[in-house]
Amino acid sequence: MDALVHTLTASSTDSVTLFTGDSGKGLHRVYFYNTNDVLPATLYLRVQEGASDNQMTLSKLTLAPGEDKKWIGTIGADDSFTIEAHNPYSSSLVDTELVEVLTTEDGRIIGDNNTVVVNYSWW
Amino acid sequence: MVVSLVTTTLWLSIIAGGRLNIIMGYKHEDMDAAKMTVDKNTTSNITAFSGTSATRIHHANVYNTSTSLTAIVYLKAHEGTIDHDVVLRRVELAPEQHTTWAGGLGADDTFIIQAENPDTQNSLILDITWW
Repeated sequence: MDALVHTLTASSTDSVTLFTGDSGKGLHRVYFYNTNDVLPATLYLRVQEGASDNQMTLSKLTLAPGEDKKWIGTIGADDSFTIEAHNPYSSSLVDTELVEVLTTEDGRIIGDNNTVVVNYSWW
Repeated sequence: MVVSLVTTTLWLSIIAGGRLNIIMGYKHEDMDAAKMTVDKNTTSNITAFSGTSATRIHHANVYNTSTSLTAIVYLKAHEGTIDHDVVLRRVELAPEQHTTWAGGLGADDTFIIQAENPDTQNSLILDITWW
């Protein structure tokens, strides 16, 4: 297994390439887990497909706080698996219409550091 | 003599390799992809791939890249024995939504994607991947 901790600061979008395919492997498995207990994260799962030289979007995932999802599929040696992650929440967002989202169960308001950390693991 | 030995060894290797493939089944080793543009108010078709006679599961993933338009997608197989298109699924793909399909197709079958774009103003693009 390999893994990556992806930190998304407030109001940011970031892309990472996790791995290239293995022609003899068969199925690749990728897990995504949103470690934030308040904020969701949006992920675009993509493959840079070698034969067509196109970047293909496989799916758009919205990970609720504490939620995990997985992807299973085959990619070849000339393909690479990429994630584009979005954290749309502003660092100054505390009491807007999203105050409910930004309030923990004990009533704590998330302040000015709306960073989201997503854990990726693959094998 | 040496040439004969080498040739014999080569043929034995090929035969052994062939048997190995039969025992283990065919392993598909790559992803392939196509971008499908569907013009406004039109219906388009694309044949993504043909099946293989070896026992394996084919997978297809269709993603609507549009952030505003819905695509009506039919997943079909052209079944060789009866020589007919068979609809596997009809799905309305909302903006940025995807659908996946997995199943077996023989060497005389093909996998077809038909997409309708009912919008009268703009085209849309589907990202189609299969493995």
